[in-house]
Amino acid sequence: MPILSILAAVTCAAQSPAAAPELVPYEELARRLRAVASEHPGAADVLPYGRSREDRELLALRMPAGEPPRGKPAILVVANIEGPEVFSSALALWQAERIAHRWSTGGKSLDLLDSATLYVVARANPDAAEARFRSPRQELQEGGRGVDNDRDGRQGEDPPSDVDGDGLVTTIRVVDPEGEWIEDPADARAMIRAEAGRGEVGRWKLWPEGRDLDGDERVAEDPEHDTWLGRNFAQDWREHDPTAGLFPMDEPEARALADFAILHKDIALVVTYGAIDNLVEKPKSVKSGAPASRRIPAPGVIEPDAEVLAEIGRRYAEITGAKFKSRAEPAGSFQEWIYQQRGLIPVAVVPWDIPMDEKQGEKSKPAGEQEAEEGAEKPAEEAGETPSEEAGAEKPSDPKRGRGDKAGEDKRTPSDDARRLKWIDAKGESSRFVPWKRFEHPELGEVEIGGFAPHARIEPPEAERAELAEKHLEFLSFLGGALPRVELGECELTDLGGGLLEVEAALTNRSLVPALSASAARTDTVRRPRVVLKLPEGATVVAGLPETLVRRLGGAGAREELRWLVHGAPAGSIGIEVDTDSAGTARCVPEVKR
Amino acid sequence: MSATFAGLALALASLAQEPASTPATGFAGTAAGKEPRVEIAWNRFYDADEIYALLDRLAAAWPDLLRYALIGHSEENREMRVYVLNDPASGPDTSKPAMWVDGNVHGNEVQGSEAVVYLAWYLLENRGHNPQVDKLLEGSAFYLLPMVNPDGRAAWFRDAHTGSSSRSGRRPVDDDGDGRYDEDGPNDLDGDGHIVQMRKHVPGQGDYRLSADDPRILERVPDNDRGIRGDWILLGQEGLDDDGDGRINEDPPGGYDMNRSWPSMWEPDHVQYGAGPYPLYWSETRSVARFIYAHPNIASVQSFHNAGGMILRGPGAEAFGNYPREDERVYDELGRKGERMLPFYRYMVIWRDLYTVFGGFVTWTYEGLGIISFTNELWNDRQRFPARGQAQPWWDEGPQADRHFFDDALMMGDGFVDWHPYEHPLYGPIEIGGFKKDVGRVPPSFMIEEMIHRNALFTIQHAAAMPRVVVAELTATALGGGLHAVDALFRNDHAIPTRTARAAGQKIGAPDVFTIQGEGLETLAGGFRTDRFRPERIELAEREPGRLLSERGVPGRGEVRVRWFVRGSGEATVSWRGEKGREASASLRIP
Repeated sequence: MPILSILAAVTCAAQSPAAAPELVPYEELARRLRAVASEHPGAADVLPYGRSREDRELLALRMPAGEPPRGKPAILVVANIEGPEVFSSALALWQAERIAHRWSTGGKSLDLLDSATLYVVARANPDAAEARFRSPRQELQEGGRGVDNDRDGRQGEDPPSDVDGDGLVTTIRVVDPEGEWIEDPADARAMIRAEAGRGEVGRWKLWPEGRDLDGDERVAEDPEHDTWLGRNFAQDWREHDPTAGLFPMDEPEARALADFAILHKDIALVVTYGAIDNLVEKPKSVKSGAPASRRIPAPGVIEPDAEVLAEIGRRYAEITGAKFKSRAEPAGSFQEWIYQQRGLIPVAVVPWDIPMDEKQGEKSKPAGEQEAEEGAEKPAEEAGETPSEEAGAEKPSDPKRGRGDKAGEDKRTPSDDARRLKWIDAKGESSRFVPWKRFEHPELGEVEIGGFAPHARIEPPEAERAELAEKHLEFLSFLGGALPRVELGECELTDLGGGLLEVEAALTNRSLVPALSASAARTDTVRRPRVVLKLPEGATVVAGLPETLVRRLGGAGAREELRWLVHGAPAGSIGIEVDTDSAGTARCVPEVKR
Repeated sequence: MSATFAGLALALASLAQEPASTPATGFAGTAAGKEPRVEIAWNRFYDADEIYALLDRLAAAWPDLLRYALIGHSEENREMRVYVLNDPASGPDTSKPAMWVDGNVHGNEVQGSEAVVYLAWYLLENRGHNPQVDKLLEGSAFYLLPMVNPDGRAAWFRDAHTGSSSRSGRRPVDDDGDGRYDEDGPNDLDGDGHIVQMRKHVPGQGDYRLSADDPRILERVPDNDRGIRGDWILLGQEGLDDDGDGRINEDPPGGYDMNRSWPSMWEPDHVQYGAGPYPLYWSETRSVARFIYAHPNIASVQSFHNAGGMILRGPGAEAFGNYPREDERVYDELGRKGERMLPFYRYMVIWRDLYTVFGGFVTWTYEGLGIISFTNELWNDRQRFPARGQAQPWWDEGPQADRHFFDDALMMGDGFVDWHPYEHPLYGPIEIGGFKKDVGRVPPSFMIEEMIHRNALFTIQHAAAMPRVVVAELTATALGGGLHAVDALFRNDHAIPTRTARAAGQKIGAPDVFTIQGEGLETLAGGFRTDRFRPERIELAEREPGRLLSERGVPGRGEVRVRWFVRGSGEATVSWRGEKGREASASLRIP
């Protein structure tokens, strides 16, 4: 499958856009991003915004090309922050190509570029992503700085590797008296943690596939690189965690992306494709005005912003039907930083995961209710089965964090991995799981190697990619229409006599996305809408400021009333103007109130 | 070392201009008659260029011992120079424990730079004359950054300022959020080169009155029911509403705090003013961090600020909790020594005794890097009247009156701009006057040398406490059958451990390594002894017994006992290697 898609990418010219997202290595990606600009004049231009640690140029597309009109809101689309999430990068590239193609062929453009500027960072982490195209194949999270993980005075001496030579870096399981894992009774290929409370005794130890090159009886515990880009941002950064990086924004890719977001003040909304979701599972929210603890604000998405996210999430479910949850933690992520410190709402999308049949052990609901609650079903789901949110099982799939099912229940429900295997079997996607196979390991002796293949949970089946991409483009178009737009209404004059005029107007934003999010009101990082009262020569403002900075303006009909007293200005000579960085501009001429 | 060295050519070129030194009794800093090789006036302050010029004179006079590394450039493209003071005869700087010393991260807190220059000057002048200095320079190196914020310093000297303005760096910030940058700073309305105060006479409608003893002083009228009001109001610092937004001086140059930029317990701008968009955002801070990260041999840190007379250590925020007890002991020993060396200075914990600081520099170097670190706040107003001691209150007639007394009697009134009339575009007729920028936070000229000497010597005492490991005992005991137990005692007589408890606890840097090697010898087992009298109590290494690793390192004023079991005969060499000390090794012959 991967080989096929690479070939397809090489042979596919950019004149007509690819039917489906294609996973391509960096050089090809860069070529195609540049081609979007060169082959569709006016649709896009390329903004290089830095260089990766391994000296790959970091590229953003700006759509349409050229300096945007003042105040026109922009969406920053960022994909592939986490190294393995190369499919998300293919999705972003596909979107850019498709949008540019429509721009060239559809007369002018699709509505999206009329209402929004798009900044597309298709591959935020090109160095780690490149591992996707190497042999052996592995899911490489780590890049950048390396540390001496095992504290033996040597750095990077025991990395994961393809021990059995099958071209894939997977998982080793070995029978060990200290083992904490057992086979899932529901599917012996899936591993779950033994729970003493159930009378279970661990049998297996799990390791990443690799050697024990330093002879410390630990396998693949000291890779060459250690920083996860998605943990290197400045919010909730975990100091002294080797995966978090030396300091926040130390990785050049993190810093360049942060600087890009700071520089482009027209960004009104951020969309990320990758391992983090905040649409399917609602993030923790916090009441606005919740008390700070030792000056540090209470954590969470502030309620008005959480409501915006929830509404976006509802539309997301309607449009895409997707139900894929986070497979990464938010601490130190770009999304947390952009929200908590820059005041921009991140719309975080996990484009695909292996669907888990969650009907087992649950009563089925009437079909109508299912529709309402869960939106359109994905074609990937097996007929007659409905995924649902509340699975009884936790996530025992991750050897580092997994905790088995809740103790005290009589019977285990199938683990997440068992449910994923069920989908794999049903779909005939057998390449996504490497059956456990005995192997004589040079250091450990007899082991078994197998488990989920790299990127098995990340990359959808070829046949589903086109439709999935279309849905995500539709969702992006929806977001383009939800961007903040300031408007001036009720623009009125009252003659108070003696040449004294009362001037009034209401500043509103009817769009879903706030002009100033609750977070932005706190961080003060988004410039406040500036209202300027324009008067003819000789007129004076008797009450009010000729220039007002509006402190708050949310979305969905948010409204701020404005009022001045003016002397010596004939009716019709007064203007009111509002300008913003990311919510448009507006002006009005107040008319005499009737 | 990744940074580039420069200045050597310059050093050689100007060497001839320096007078030949004539060693005599005594040492620089006393009046005992030794002529310094480089004469520097220590009763004045120097602007940014002059500070580098002073250090370049020192580098020219001692080209072997002082050179600089260019670590980056400031916002206004000034050089960021770390002067490396090291005696290469005893090894490169990176082979020794080093002390980082900086000053002037806040542009207005100028005297730290003179203290840094003085430290270099003092050590260089005394090199070859004072055995303690020789010993210090043989075993350690210094990294000296005189100005973390050279732009802020240059502006403070060049432009009209108060004692507290020009704290920030010079990258424009839109403080008032109106989309315009740095457009409404203070204005030197009368063009006299000083930013002082504005007051307005409003008979019967004010809240201040003139002191009956001294009309230069405004006194707040006490709250009363007798209808007594003042005749004056205060209107803040000299300035205009440049941007017409109804506020005065609200968007001055810059608008951030480079001592809130460091990665440990960093919090963003809306929690901690001045923090910037992310840690180490400004080129100055990033250059410093890069250098420090690249020099794991830095074992001590001193940062000079003003004012208030403080020897500060972290934590900067209550949420951190306490520092580990072993490290607190080191801090306390040095801090209390500092209180005796620095009259009117108090040894304090930042969050508890001063205020909360998130993302401070010395909290980062300790919490993030595990280095014992102090900030000194140089100069305390009490030092003007030492006879009053530490008593409260510390003034005779009131703080303003005492300040005037000192200025009138000892400075001939030079520090004060007399109130004089001015026609302000918004306030109408007002008066402008007040103390100049060099009154309050910096000492008067005649007290500068004492301040920087005491602080430089506190720094030297701190540097002398950096770890030094020796092999104090090395013995071999025959166990029969060609087997020997080799016992090595590694001792650190200095107060600072090779690895602080913080470094050990957070696994910062590299662990210490204890090795044994020798031709014809095979190391069968080895480990750290846990009981000096019972050699069988030993934490055996699981593998590589000839190369033992330790997170805890060698404690301050402490020791580590290692026992190895070796077979064969020949010369056995044991050694200790760590990031923050010179390698220690010793050999013995195993028969």
